[in-house]
Amino acid sequence: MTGHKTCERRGWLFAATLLAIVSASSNVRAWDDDDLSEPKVKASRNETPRLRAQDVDRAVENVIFGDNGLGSSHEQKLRERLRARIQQLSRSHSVSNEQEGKLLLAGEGDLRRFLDRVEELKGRIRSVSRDQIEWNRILRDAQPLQTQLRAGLFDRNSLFGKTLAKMGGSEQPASFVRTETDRSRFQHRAAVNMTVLRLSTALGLSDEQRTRLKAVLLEETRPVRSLSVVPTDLYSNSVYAQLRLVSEAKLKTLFEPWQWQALRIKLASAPKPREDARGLIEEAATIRERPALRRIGMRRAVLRASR
Amino acid sequence: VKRIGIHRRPDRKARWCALCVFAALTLSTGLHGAESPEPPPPPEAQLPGQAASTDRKPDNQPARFKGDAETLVQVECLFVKKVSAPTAEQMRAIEAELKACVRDAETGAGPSTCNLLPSRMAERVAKHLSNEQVGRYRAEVKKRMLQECEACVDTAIALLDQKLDLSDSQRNSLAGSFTANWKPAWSQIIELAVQNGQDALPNFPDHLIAPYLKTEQLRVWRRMPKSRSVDDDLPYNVERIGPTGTPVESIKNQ
Repeated sequence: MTGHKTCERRGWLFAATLLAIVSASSNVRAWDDDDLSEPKVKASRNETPRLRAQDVDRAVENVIFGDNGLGSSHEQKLRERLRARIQQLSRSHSVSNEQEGKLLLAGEGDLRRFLDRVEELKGRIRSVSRDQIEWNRILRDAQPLQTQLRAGLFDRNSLFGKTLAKMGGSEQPASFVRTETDRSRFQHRAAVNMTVLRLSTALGLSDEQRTRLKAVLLEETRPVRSLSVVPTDLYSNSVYAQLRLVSEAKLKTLFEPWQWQALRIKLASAPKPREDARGLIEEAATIRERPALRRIGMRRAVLRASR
Repeated sequence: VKRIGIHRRPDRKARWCALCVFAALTLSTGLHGAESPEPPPPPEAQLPGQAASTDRKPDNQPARFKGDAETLVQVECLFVKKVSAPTAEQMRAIEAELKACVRDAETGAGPSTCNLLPSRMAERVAKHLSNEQVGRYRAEVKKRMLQECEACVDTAIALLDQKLDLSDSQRNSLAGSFTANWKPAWSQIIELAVQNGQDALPNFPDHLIAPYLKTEQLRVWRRMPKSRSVDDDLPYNVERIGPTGTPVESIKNQ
C-alpha cells in the first residue's frame, strides 16, 4: 500500500514537473519573437500585449513613406531628392558653390528634423497596445508627417526655403523668388482649370459658366505652398477643397438653380481642407496681395522680387 | 480507480496522469498560441502618388465602359439640357440615343475610342435638336473641347515643370506647341493621372517638346515615366472624370 502511495506520489510529482516545464515554455513561446530592446515583459494574461518593434517601424514607415519609390533606405532617397532639388536650382539660376553648400546644409537640417519626428513617433507607438484603435492612432499620428512629405520637406517655411528666400533678397538676383512665384501661379491656374473641367462634367456647365467660375476660383483660392514636387491630385484637390470656403453669394449667381442644388450636395461631401493640409495653401498671397498679410516675410520677398 | 485496476499498476497510473496533463497542457498551449500577440498586418498606406497605374490597356481591348456607361450618358444629358434647353420629349429621345451609342461602344458595334466616341455622341444628340438648338450645341461642344485641352495642357506642363524646372517662357512655348497638336487621348491620360495622383505623362513626340528644352532638361524628360497608351486607339475610360466630375444622384433624376 505504501509502495502504491509512493508510486502515486511520484506520478503526481512527475505530472506537476511536466506542467511547470510546459507552462514555462508556453510563456517563452508567446514572447520569444519580441525583439524589444527593453527587458522581456513578464506580462500576465490581463495585460495588453505590446507590438513588436519591427512591426511598429514597418507600419509607421508604410504610412508615411508608402512605397513611393523610396525603397528601403528612406533617408538616402530623401537626401537624393534634396541634391536633385539643388541641382534643379543650379540649372535654372546661377548658384555659386558656396550657395549650394548653404542650401545643402539647410536641407540636411530639414531632413534630419523630419526623420527625428518619424523616430519619435515610432518610439511613442511602440509602447501602446495593439488593438484596432491603436492602429488607427498610428494612421492618425502619422498623417501630418505623410502630408509634410507629400508637400515637400523643403517648402517655404523650411530652413531650405528660408535660406533660398534670403538668397533672393541679398545674395542672389530676384529671379529666384520671381521664378517660384511664376511657377506657383502657373500650377494654380492649371489646378483651377482642372477643377472647372471636373465641375463642368458634374453640372453640365456652359462655356460662359466655366469662364465665370474660373475667374472666381482664380480670385478666391490660393496656390499650394511648396518649393518641391507636389502630387498632381493635391493641386487639384486643394482648389476643390477651397471651393467650400468661397462665399455663397459669389457662387450661386453662376449657376442654374438645379446646378446650384447639385453643387451644394457635392460640396457637402467634398474633402475639407484638413488641419494638416491647411499649411499647404499659399499664405503669401502670391496671386493676390492682401493688406492683412503685409507682415508675412515671404510676401516681402515677393514684393522685393517684383520691384 | 480500483475498478480499472490502476491501483495495481502505479507506474502506469502515473504515466496516464502525466499523459492527461500533457495533453491538456498541449491543448491549452495551442489555444494560448492562437491568442499570442500576433500584431495585425500594418495598414497598407497608399499615397496618392502611388495609386493605380495609368491607362495601359492594349489597343485590342474594348472600351472600359462597364458600370460607368450611365454616368457618361448623364454627363452629356446635363450638358445638352443647359446649352440647348430641349423639351422633355427631346430629352427622352436624346437619352435613349446616347444609351444606344454607348451600348454600341461597349459591344464594339460603334466607335469606342477617345478620338471617335465624343464626336459620335454629339452627332447622335444633334439628330433630335432643332437647327437653332444644334447650332448652339455644336458651338458649345467645340468650346468644351477647347477648355478640356487648355486644362490638360496646363496640367501636363505643371507636371513637366516639377521635374524640369521650366522657365516662364519655356512653359509658354510648350503650351503653344501642345495646344496646336493636342490629341484627345492625351487628355484622358492627364485626367487619369490627376485622379490617381500620378505623374506619368503622354509620350509626347520629340518635335513638340525637344526644341524648347535645354540639353539637361531633355535628358531628364527622356528618363521620365510615360504612359504606354496608344494615342489613336485609346479606349474611352469614364473613370477619367473621377468622383468630382460625377453628377450627383439628385441631378441625374431631374
